[in-house]
Amino acid sequence: MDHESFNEYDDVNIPIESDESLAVGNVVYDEAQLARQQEDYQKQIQQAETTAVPEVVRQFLLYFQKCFNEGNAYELHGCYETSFQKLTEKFYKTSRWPHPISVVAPLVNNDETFVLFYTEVYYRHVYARFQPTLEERSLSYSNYCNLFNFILNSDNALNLEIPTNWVWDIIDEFIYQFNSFSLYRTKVLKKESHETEKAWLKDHDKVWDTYSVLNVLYSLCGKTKIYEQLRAQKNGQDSTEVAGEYGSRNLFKNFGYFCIIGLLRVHTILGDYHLALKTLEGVELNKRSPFARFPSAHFTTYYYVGFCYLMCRRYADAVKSFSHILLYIARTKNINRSVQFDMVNKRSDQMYALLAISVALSPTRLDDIVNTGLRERYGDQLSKLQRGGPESYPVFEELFLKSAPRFIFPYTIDFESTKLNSDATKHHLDIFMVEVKNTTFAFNLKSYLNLYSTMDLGKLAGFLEKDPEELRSALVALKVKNRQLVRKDGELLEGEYVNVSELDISLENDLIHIAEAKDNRKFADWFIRNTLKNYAVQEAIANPEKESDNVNKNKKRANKENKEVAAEKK
Amino acid sequence: MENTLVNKPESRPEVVDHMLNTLEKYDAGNIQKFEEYVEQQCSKNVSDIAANLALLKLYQFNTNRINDEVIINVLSLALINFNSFDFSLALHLLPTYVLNESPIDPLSEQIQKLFKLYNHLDGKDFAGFWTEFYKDDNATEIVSDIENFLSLIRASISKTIECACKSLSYSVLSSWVHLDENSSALNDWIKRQSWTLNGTTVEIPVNEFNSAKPIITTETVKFEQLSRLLKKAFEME
Repeated sequence: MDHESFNEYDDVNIPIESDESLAVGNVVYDEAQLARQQEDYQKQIQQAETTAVPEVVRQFLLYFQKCFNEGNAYELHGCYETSFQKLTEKFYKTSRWPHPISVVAPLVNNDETFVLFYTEVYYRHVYARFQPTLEERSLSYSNYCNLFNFILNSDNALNLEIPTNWVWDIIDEFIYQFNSFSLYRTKVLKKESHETEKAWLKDHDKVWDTYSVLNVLYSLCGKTKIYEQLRAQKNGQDSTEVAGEYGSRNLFKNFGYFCIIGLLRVHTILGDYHLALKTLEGVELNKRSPFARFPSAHFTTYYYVGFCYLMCRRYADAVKSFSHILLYIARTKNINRSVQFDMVNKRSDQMYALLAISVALSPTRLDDIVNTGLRERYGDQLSKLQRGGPESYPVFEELFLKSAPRFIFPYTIDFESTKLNSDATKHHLDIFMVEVKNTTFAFNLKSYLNLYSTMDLGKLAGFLEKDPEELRSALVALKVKNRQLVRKDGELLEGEYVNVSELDISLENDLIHIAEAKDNRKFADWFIRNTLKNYAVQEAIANPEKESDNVNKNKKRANKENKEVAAEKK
Repeated sequence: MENTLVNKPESRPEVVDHMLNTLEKYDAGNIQKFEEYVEQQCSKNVSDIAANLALLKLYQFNTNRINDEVIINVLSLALINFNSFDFSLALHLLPTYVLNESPIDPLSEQIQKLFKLYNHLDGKDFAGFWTEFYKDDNATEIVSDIENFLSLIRASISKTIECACKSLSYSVLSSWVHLDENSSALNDWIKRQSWTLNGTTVEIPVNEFNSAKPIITTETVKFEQLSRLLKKAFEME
């Protein structure tokens, strides 16, 4: 892979917060004050005063509303990213935030728009911390409907100003809840009991309906004219000319981008890998990509793109997607210790598993850092996969189940018969395993073929104790499967057929011709990097003072990191 | 081999192309148009997987409109292009019960038969494919809507052979395309592919794939890679 393209990520910097106090506007609550209110709140809860709102939370909500309506982006970001999290830790670890309708609406003077967005955050907190009830799932859904309705159809939406992270979270959560509901519904319908739930689901069959979820995403794409903008950008035109009133505002442009990722995800969990990749038409996938600025959007995109490539049997492209993003995560892991750290870690673990599958099916030389990461996590499994044969099948299955997206049942639910209600993941796995079986069959051939430049088919069959005709088929399969579509430039679905293996064979009747790729080391890249390193060293020697400054800075940073690690261990 | 997802078949009607590129592909009112197009593909011997996937997607959202026969035809068409994974892409979009171990309706029975056939073709076990195909009358029945199905499969098998082999024994070819040795059908088939029969060996003209080529990777240095070096050199002046 091209190392140069990652240098830009070295500058990614995300500030770390460790302060325990809390600022709500100009009022700063220190730790002691918070602790006192926390105690009071616990007491109130015990006395069953569930509608009680601690003073700090009340103040926070009012301030939150004020910033929201003033469009004070900076303060709003603080409320959303920092204060909300801190208050959750203090007061709402085990209980729900104040209810949007019964408590918050009267508090904020029935400010409908604010309540709309607060409700979004409220249910997200419910989903993150508790098992949402059926009613909550449905109310959250209708809130999303209202929220998107507001964005799509209200004149006031143009004045909306919320942090980009929030925009991402809205789309991300919307799809997460849709996915979660679909899985829940399938689970309930499968069971013999659960009559009340079944009846409820039957009455509410439009809740979290796939069609309407897609409708929202496509409508937002249309409203923000995001595809038109991307096309204009690609042709070197000014995208603001086609963006329209909404699309030219950064906020809505981001909505548009994130909806594209949303569509990518929805199509993937429905098993439509072709449409999923087609959805990204016009999106540049590299460091200049609009997603690259938002870490979550960035690695979500690569995870799904990589997975779709894997399911389309384009292993070289899958490997490229996974390594690209895993390298990015590896390089930024020290500075990227944000709230989502666990999520990043879980996702990258999944991507290493998918990478193991892709590399096993189509051996590829990996970047050193990614290779080390892969061996650390899945070294054992990888060697089992690479040996092929029936012993490798359970490992393929295990890694697939662990790391695939949570597929949903795509068809409209049939409440009368359970036949349409079958396990979606198993379905996709079954199809994938055909490919695995037909590809890994040839694995043990390679170690023999490597040794010869020509070989008699009968002789090889003797070595392998295989039927010669079975072997002939395996060789043809090896040859054909080595030719894969690989994307050069252009859209994700485009590509050229290339031999991706280090081995090439052809059959002349019973004689196998074998050619091996000569692996040329890449010298130029090595020289360029080391020349630059050399310059850096020379400069350090020439200016020792400046260097000692840097050393101090590095020490400080290292100390801070160590502290964090220590804190985490506690 | 071709990129069947991107390449647009020449015979794709304008109206279908328009639907595929707009949100009309989600309009249940267009199911009939897509179905008619499948019918056309069956009789004209072309397969347009991108359009057919859009139809299967419409079935996902409109269960009551599912037409088993059309699904089977889409899969049979995809089977012909077995080297391009059209078949598995289509399968991923079908109701998830169809591959369950014991088939519960005629649709899943037929799909499982096709899936078995695909399994042989994907593993390039062509002799096995024909055995499975003629095991009972079912397969012939399943693909009966596709005109010339057998010669289309033979053509795809022959293309695969061209990709991997410089020559092949006459008897192996006979079992791979399922035409009797010394029959005029087999000899005609060899002629139609522009291959030559030389004693017991069928020789296949050299093409860009059927010889083993060592891959030589060369390193290309892009100008951008040198940018920092050049900047440095400039600063040192």
